[in-house]
Amino acid sequence: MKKIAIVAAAALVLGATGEARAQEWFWGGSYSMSLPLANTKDFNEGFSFRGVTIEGRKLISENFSTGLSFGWHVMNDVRTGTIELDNAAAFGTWYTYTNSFPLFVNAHYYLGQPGGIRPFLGANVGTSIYEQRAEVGQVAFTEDKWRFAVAPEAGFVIPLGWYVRGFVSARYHYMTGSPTQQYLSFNVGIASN
Amino acid sequence: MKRLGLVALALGLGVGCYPGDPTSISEFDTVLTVRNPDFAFSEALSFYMPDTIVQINQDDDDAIEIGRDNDEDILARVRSNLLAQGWSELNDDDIDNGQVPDLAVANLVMATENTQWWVSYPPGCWDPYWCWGWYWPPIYGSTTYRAGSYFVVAASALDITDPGNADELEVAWSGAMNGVLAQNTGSNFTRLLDGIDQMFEQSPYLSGPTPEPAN
Repeated sequence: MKKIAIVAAAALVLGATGEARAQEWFWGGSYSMSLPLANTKDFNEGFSFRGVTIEGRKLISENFSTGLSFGWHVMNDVRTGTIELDNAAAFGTWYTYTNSFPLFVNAHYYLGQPGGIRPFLGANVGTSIYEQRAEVGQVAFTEDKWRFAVAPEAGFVIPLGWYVRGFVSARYHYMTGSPTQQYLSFNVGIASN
Repeated sequence: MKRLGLVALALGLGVGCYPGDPTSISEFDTVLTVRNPDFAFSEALSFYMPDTIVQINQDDDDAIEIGRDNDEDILARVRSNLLAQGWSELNDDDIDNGQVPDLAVANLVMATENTQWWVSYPPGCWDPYWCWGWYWPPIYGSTTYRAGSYFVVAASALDITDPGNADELEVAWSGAMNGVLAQNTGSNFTRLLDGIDQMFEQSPYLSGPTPEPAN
């Protein structure tokens, strides 16, 4: 009887633990690099190594999670040249800066088996505080906008230890507005539960 | 979660809002040109340019006195750029003999000294009176810089009805160079000459309409 009680208790604990693992939150941070595209590239060209992303994902099942993500991506450029305006032209050294703060809710689907390297696909939907600033001479022009934003994502989760996962991913950020803004972010990070 | 916070903090370090500030004073230089779309620039315009650079803010509180040693060279650079457009210059004798140029060209300068005061508190102290339990006075300071602007203005001289008295002239074209003045006046002079060249380089229409390409 005593043995049965111990086995039953162990089963309950293991069962509860198994349930908890399916419902657990993973929190992570990643170093984000950005590659501007289209209109974003016209404003500031070149690969950026400045950025960070913080996110949390809740495992709903072994293959599916939902979560939140917040990022801060900085792109900048320096160009010396002339900008043509209506009946005017301005020459100078133009410093351009983009600060993008995407705030997403997301869902991810994981392939492969728990415990192994798992490719995943994700969808991020939300908004982005998008600031563009241009400085020339002693003058600066700044525009801040809230934009609707989506970011499909693909990546890998790599087990690093009992509680720790590494992950790499690429996100294609698309922001509505006039003009639209687009860039790719490449993220390398770790997550823990 | 504590470990995660440390990781996030570490990742956040090195992230800046506006990286890559100007490293040279010449990077503050800007050249702006504006044209009157109603004025027809032809290939053979005549101009008259007085041999004086006029300081237009002389009476202002923030005005500084400028050296005049390089005036002749500066005017020569403007003149050579105008002649390079295919334009011809009328001198004082031509004007005295009653010839009227198409354009009157004026050279103007403005130089100012600007002082900006700032106040700062030790890190984490937003209140100047109590900071971490102690009185900590704010730190005051000031930053002063000198800025200069040079203008070349070409106005239609045909509108002059009463020479020697003020007339409202139709401005055909104007160029402005703006920059921060360095202590090294030689550097200021060189940058100004480059700026004058740039005014004309970005105004190719001054030499007349671009010919249609031959078929």
